[in-house]
Amino acid sequence: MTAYIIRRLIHIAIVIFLVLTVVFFLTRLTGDPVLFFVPMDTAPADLEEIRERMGFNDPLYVQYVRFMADSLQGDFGESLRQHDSAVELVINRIPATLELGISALVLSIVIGVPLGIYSAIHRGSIGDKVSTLIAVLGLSVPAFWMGLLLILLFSVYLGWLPTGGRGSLAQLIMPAVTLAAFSIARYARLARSTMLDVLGQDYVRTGRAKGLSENRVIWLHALKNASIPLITITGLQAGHLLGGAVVVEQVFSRPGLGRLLVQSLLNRDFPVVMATIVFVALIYTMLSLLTDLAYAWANPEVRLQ
Amino acid sequence: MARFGNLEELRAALATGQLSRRELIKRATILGVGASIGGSLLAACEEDDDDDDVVEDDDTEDVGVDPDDDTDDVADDADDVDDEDPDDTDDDVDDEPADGRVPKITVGLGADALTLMPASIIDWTTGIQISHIYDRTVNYDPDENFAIGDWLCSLEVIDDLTWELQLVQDDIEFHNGEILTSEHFVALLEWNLDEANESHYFERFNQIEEIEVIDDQTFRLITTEPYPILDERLTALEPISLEHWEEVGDDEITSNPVGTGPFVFNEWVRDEHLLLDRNPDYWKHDVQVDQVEFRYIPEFSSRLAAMLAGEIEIVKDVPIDDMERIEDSDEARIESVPSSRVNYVALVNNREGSIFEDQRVRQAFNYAVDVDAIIDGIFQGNATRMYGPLSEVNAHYNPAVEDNGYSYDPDRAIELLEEAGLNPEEIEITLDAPQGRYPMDTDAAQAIAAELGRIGITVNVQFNEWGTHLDKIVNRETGDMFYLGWGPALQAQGTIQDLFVGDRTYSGFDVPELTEMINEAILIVDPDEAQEMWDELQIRIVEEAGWLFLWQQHDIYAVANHVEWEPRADEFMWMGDARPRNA
Repeated sequence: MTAYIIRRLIHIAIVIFLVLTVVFFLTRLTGDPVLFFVPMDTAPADLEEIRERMGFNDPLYVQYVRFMADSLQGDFGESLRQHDSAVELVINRIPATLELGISALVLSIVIGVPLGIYSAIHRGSIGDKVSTLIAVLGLSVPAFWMGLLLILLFSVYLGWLPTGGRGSLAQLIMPAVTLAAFSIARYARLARSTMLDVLGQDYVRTGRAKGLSENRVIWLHALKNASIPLITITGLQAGHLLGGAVVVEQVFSRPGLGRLLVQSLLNRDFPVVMATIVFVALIYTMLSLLTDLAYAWANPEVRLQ
Repeated sequence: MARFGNLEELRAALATGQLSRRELIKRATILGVGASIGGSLLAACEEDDDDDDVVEDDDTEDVGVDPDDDTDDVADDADDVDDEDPDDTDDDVDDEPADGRVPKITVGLGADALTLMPASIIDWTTGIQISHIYDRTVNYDPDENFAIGDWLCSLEVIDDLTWELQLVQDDIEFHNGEILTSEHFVALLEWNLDEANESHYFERFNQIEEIEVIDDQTFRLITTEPYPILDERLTALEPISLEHWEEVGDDEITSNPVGTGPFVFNEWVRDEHLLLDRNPDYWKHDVQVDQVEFRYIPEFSSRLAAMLAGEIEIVKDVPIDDMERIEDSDEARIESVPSSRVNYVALVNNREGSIFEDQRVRQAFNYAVDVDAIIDGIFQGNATRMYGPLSEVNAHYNPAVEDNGYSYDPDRAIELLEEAGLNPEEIEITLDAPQGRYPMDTDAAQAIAAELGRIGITVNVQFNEWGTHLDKIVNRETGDMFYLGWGPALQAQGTIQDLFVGDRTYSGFDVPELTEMINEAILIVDPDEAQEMWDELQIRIVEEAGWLFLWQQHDIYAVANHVEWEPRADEFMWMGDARPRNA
């Protein structure tokens, strides 16, 4: 197990290196960052001097080597616009995104899995159809639109919840629900199909024949065996939630990583873009590792080597 | 599963064997785990008081508050706001004014400030917020068509190279009680002139060769060459308390400001809000607002929703389509003002091969577009027609351009094109335009293309992401026409030099004779002589048809009904003179 974890950590380092390389060159393709942090009346000669001073006139490979050398030491440079450390800007925004992502993940599991199990047990019933409808809506309604609709309903018309920001539970509810909507639907659909599959297995029939209660059969025996695909999807959904935070944080004005990424991309603030991407990649790959390790808990037959 | 309403029932069930011990433990475990998860979630959602991103002013004693003054109440109120759930903040702030003042104004902005240090970074959002904590050295005077007038200082031109500034009062205090003197201006100027500090204002101040302090109230600036726009440049110079600056250092001064302005710094939470409290001892006038919050909401739809939900009091740049919705609400009204920001289409002639090298072609394009119809149709009247390069709110505006301007005359357009040897039907041209940067820019660009299409010209509109649009203009890679907004444009030089001298960064126009005139004009310090030159230049630019002249955009704000606040043409969203509406 230890050897496996070490090997996976090496893989993670390689992935981060590749991500850094690809993003470095992609961001440089977007254009001249200097235009975004100097006034529009700056004379061409002054623009050129600033580019020279900041190293943007150096050949791309020179900039790349310099960047990699610095980033290996954890130095992503200063924000081009704010003159603050890029890493500090990112670290300060991680709590808001984690808070949102974890809440959405908990909501997805707590609502999605029971919904899917209910549908499987009551297959073909009205409840099953309603659950399917909810799942289809969750999968098809864009987060941006859903967020705005929720704001209109619960903030503007009903006045129950604040439109955005961060700091209280009330400010977390709508963003978490918006972000979770897609995942709830996926969990519900997957839980339904795997549960239906498992409920048809021999050992379930045996359990029932032994006189076990239906609850015991479903929640203890069937659910544990149906949980492997759900664990797989949890790893994937965690990544999806990180990506979805980009939109949700914009709509609900939450000061998280997603909003920072959008702003820094629009402003061509390269150091902040790079630092943000590295953190997101790190979180994603670590979640992937944790997911794989969770297989062992759920099914000892899964051989990690 | 059996339910137990209270502890007695539970105990009885245990005694009678109705509930096994195992079942009891199971239920207790479920309850415990559930409560833990719930508790963790709630804890995660609580504001982290130690969050590094939160910059709070914990030096309340340093703010120079008189204990007997009613400021204490304000400070207490501010503390209450900090201590409580942010959700409840709005509940604390009634719509009715307290003590004849507005308890709180929340301004919805699209982005955070980049710094709280004045005269360091040029950025509109940053400048607006800083100007509430600090005061400008001199300021645009809306009553004098935005000419530069007194603020902290009065300004006198001694000769072409020498400017004398004198404080308008000798007892102006910073928020920490320090008295403002000439040294404060000098220190900030010297910081800006040190290239190592990488101030955006270095280029704007580096014509200052010498700073001469006459006394505590008076100082002189001597420039290397005549620099007539020095007065405008000085609007950005907002002195900082030197005692405080020395105490906190260069790094912290960017997030822990002490100025002389109408509001005192309370708290800055990056990407969330900036909270300021009323300065009860403001030297200039009585401030009618107890607290100002700048809240950062990047999406306009969300800002508008926050406005309609009563969470914020002022929002800028309301889309024309949403004006009716605001007016119909009980929460807010529309306040609109013709802005100093101008929109135009450059007819690029500063590169080889452009059809606009011929003056007649440029004139023809001006005759071919019915600008008034676009203003009436697309902008529903919310734009003001321009006939020359400067808007009516520019201090150097020459009204005579209207008589020399171009009216819609498609026949004359065709005639001019034919004189230039061009058949309109054979002209195919690209118009580069941004999307969503300026009010109705997408619709306006398409309308311009359609207008030109009516005389047979084919216009391909190329919409660009904002950054790409700027890149293309700077690198001279646009089509022969590009759409751009420019402002705030309150003085002639900032527009005419930057956009009509061929080698300037965003210019698309070059006529050597005009360039010579412009280079001469920018060195004239005498206001009357300079005005004469700018007047002539405006007429010449119209004759040359340097642009396809369009409009000055209107700044449209939504303002809460309980707040009296008037927008300004220079986009200066200043709450220092806001007041209760029913007062």
